[in-house]
Amino acid sequence: MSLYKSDSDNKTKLFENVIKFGPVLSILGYLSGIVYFSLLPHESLIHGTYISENALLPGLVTSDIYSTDSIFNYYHFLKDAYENNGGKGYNAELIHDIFANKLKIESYTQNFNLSNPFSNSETDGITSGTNAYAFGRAQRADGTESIVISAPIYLSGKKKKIPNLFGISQLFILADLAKTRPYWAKDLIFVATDMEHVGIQAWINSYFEAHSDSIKGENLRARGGSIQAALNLEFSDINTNKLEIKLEGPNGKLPNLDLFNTIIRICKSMQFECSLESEKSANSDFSYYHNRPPVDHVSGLINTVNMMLKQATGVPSSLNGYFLNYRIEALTISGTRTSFSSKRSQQKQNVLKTTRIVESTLRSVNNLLERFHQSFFFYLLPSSHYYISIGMYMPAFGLIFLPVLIKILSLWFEIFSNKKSTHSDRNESGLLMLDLLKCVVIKFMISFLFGIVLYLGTPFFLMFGKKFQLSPKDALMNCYLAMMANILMTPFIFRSKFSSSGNKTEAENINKLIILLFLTIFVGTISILNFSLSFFVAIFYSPIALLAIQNVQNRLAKFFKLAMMVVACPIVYFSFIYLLNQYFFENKNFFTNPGQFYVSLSEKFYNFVLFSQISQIWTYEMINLFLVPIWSALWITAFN
Amino acid sequence: MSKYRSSGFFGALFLGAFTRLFLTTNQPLRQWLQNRLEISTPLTSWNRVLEGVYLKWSLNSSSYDGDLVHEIPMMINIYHYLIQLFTNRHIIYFFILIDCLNSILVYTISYKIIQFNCIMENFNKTNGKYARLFESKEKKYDFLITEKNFKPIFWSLFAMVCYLFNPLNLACCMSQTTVLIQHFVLLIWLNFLLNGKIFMSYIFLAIHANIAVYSLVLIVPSISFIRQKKIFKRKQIKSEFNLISKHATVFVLLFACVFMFNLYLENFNTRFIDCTYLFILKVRDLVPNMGLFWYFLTEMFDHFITFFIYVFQLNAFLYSIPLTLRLKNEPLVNLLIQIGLLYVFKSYPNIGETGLFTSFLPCVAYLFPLMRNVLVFTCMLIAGMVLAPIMFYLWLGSGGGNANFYFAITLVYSVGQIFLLVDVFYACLKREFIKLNGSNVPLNTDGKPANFTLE
Repeated sequence: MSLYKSDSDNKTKLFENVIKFGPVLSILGYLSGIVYFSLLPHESLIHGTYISENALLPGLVTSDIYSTDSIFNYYHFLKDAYENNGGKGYNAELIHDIFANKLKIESYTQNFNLSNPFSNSETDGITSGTNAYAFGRAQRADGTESIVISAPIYLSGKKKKIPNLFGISQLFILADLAKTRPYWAKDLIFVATDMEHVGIQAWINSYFEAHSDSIKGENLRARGGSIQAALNLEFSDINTNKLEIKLEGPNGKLPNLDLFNTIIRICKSMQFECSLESEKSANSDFSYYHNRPPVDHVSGLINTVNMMLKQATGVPSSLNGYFLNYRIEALTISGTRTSFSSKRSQQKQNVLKTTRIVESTLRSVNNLLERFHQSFFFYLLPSSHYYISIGMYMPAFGLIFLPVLIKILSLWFEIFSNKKSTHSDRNESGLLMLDLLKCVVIKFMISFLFGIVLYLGTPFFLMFGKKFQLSPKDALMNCYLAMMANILMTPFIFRSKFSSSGNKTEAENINKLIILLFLTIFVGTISILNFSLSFFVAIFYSPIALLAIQNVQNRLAKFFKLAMMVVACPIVYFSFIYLLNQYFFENKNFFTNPGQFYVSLSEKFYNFVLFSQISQIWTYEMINLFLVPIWSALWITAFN
Repeated sequence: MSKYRSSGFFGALFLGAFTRLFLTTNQPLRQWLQNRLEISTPLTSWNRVLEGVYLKWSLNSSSYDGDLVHEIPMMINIYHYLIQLFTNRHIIYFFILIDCLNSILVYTISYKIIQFNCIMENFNKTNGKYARLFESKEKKYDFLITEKNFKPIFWSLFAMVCYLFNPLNLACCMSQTTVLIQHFVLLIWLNFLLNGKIFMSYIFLAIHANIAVYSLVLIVPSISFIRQKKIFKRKQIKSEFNLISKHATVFVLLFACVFMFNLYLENFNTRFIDCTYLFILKVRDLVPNMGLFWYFLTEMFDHFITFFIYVFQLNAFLYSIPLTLRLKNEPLVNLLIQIGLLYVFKSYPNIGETGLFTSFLPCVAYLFPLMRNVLVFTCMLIAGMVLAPIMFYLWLGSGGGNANFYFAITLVYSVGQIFLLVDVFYACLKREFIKLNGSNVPLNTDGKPANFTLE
């Protein structure tokens, strides 16, 4: 022991232990993280959902909707309008007309434009639409709070747009209630939006006077109080016997779990089938009389992963997501049809129940005394009756990322103990600086340059594509792949520059340490904002990063390492996830048809980039700005 | 002036200025930074300065109407002339200029600090103070720093680079906070002090103490430094009490002069005292920042607030004298630690202040091998800086989080800073012990090797 050393003997021993048991601990941590995560939906770890906010009191009111006559009246009226004139009569003007003249409530329309964010000419690619919105003012309240009920006029279908006739008809029924009943404590705002994702954003942005580059909406002429909650109604068909709830908002945001629980409770009390979007469950015979269905581990895990995949993209699953940007808890209720019993009486029952569920939910929210603040904002749902809270799933994430943290610790110790021995030689510090400059700074500058080019490059990529007569989607995909190829080529071009002269190991170690720290900061930061994205990054990049910085001598091992690094290229990795997603959840088998997969991928990719630009979703930008540089630095390091 | 003639110096300065000029083109970034609470605290926000100037010169009323402006009248006047000179659109170039001047001052000061430390150790060595170090078994010939093994040019350049390319300082420059001007005053004080122009240095310290009340305590380490310098010039110190009281009186008089000048500028209207000095001491504005005050004071019952404000503010003033007594042989390390401590215990800290004192760390780089928790506080500071805006967004933006999220991060940040300072302190004491007692590990009474702990 020497006084010249900084650490006491205990600490040195700890570090020696870290280096000795590190590899075992890393493997153990990683594997146990995965096992723990897959055990999360198990009976012994899972929790049943419950209503945390007492004021909600779901399902305790008597419904004021007694018959389906008026619903069918509105429905057929809208249907006639849609079927005559090729659907032109069915628009925001018609809805505004019904609100204003039949129901006699305050109603307005709003025009908006969408310009293509990547086209540089002013007039090119501008599309416009019209929203209708109406206010059912609460008779006895002071109008300081409100609830939004929105419905898109058209739903996006597989081939063509489907009119949301039943959803819009429900708006009219609820507007009638809002006008005639005295018990409303909050204004009801009814919004019928055009052009799917665009209309709702135009309306919300105008409501909060927020600025958006590509969507320009007219100023709104009236407003309600502070919006407490929003429901979005999507019904492609009036024959509905099951409700599906969509939650995921933009950039991994989720609505308060209380709102979701309320709807599930109400459906339960109405004995109507209700689940998460595309929820899988083994016990298909839905037991009305059970409070909670028994836990089903396998389908619970599948549902969790499905939800995480949807959350990880950052694209909202439906129009409710845009409300979450402004701290408004919002859900989408969409109706589906599972059985084809066309009995008239059954159909009427279902229509009545569906409308009553929406009404009952509104009246629960109407009871609220303060903003949703109880219950959970960070959760995963394995089924509609069970949840996994942040306290349960975060340890799994930590365990999966443990190898990187251990590696950082041991690298740090190596550098630090090395420094002590070279402490005597002052000339070395200058040499080390030179090495660092050569080895680390240049590497990172090049890597981040690639990231910035990708971040800013999309419009230029499309411009090049136009020169070569390529369609936008091909141009974007090809340019992106070309950039990736560029990164892959970098080590060959700069080979001599990156190899250092003097004390090589020290500079190399610092380089590795910085890369791992960057990865840790990136993953850690994203884990707070969008857990699912960071989970999918961590589960793959944690072992890959360790593999990349490992020095291997064996040629076969080196080849394997480089091959894995190519797979680790973000676009390759994420397309692989997309492929698996399509295979398992959408039942599309692309394995046999790679050409079709490429076409589908490039279309999806272009739509995703365009969509992120319009709706301000940062997944794509984050990956370009941080993950691509990290991968590029890892790739260059792996090569030396 | 030969020390300025290195290509590294000009290269770094040019690159730093260029980076800043390049960043000015990014308008949204500047807007975002100007609204960040971590940077634009009530004391440093540029928008508040504009308000003050508008109130005084356009509306002909006092700048302090409305309790929005907390700069002292002197600074408001200076900013008024600056705005007239540069116009508000181009004032950013003035800030870039000041930032570059700051970096040059950091370079000069670091150079002086290292030089002073080298000469001091050499002086003590020739006086035979370190005899036991050379008798100890395990020898390390370069343990004492000299200008050969701890090159001032290299390390002061490193300090300057740390200042110029610290993201915290870049952010401060882009958001045009007046903290840069406060740094400028502080650095001029240090520069004059190190060059032996004591009266001038006190003038600038008095100005800085008028801007931010806390820097009053910096008079204690500066007197300690002057005393050390006297010893080392072999001047007889007749009476320590005389020396201290003389310097303290001069400083207090200067402080009073600056204060009177401010009063004169305000036409003897005493309203500004409440808006500047008392505003800082009473912590009236509880808008979140990176400090420790806001959360405690918002959570607390009103009738306890006075008591806790006394306790908290005492923290900032309390450590000055004990630290100076303990580190009387290392006056410059003492200075750096005290500047750092002030920035932690301030009521309205600004992240640029952390940027300033961390950029002086290369001057004491010889202490790094003796430090214990480098990894811990580095990680804490990085986590604090990266997560602060995100936690703020989760609390007030998306609504998923709450105030505890942001508070936890500010706590991590402050504790990280304190760890850093304590580690510098620890390493300094350990080094002093080795210098005086040699590197043999002393034995405890039970015969086992003793541990070196900070108690």
